[in-house]
Amino acid sequence: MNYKNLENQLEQFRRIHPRAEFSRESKSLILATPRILTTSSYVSPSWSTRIQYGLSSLVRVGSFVGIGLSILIISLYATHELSPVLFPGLSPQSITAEAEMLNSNMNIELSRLGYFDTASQESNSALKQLSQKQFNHLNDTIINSEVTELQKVTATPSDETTQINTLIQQLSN
Amino acid sequence: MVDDRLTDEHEILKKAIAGESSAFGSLYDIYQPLLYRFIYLRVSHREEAEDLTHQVFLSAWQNIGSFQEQGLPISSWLYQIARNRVIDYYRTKHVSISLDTETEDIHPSLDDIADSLETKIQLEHIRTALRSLHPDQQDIIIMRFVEGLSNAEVAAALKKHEGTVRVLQHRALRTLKKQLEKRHEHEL
Repeated sequence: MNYKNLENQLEQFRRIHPRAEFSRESKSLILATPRILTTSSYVSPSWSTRIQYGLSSLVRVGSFVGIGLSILIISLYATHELSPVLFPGLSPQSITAEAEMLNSNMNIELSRLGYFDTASQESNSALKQLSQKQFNHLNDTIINSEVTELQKVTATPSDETTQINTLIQQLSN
Repeated sequence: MVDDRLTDEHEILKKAIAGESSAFGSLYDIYQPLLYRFIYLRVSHREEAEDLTHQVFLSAWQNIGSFQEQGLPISSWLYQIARNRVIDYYRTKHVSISLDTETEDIHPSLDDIADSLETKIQLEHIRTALRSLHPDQQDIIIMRFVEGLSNAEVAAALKKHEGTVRVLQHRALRTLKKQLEKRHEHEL
């Protein structure tokens, strides 16, 4: 096999063709797809077209900017000037007064909370003491009663002690 | 005659770039069979070749506005898109077509083009040998000898110098010839 023969054989592949149905469908699908326009796809527009396009673009951009600025100015005017009239609740004086009232209410609530906290701590400790019997010997009332009992006992000698003392005196005499 | 054809094609191209769908339709009619054949010989699967060909022309339609800037013949630009699609196809799908599958796929088309069983077998051998070449060499052989593109067009499509294309073409033909001779000897 020489090169010429090989080239001739390769040329036979030229007879491969796509299916007609595929070609038709693919073509119609592609041409129905919207094109992505790039800058180079414009065919050199004339100067008048460019000026017209530039002017119309300027007018469009200008009108957008104008509308935006108007909305901004109107909203600022409404906030600063008309709000005390249309929305009295939005005036600085009323807002300050409302804030102060809220602040004082909050202080009262906080002091009440502090009182409840102290009271609950004290009652807790008292309850704890009462519930713990092993600390009874430290209770002031119990200690005082015991002291009184002891004094009574020591102040009045018993009958046995008197009899013993009498016997001792007799013996000594 | 050739000049007239080129002038006509240039006019069609200008209209297509300007966004005329009918002009792009004419370009489609001229180049679609060529691109399909190129892709088909590279992927050896009819449905995949159809899908890829569709993608190539869809991409061309959507991006033809950027074509002017590159200063290429339209054929080279389309082959560039097709090559990239084929590269993506092999990269993303990790295609590893077995020889059996390949033969089954190629049969219907070879039936259409082969006059005899002997021719068909010979074409199958060439096809198998072609697929064993490096992708660049496959592209060059298909573009030069199947599609009939000039060295300049092939060089533009492959983004290589003409000299490099000639060297690669020579090496590819030599490898192809050797493989076919080896196969012939083996069969004898």
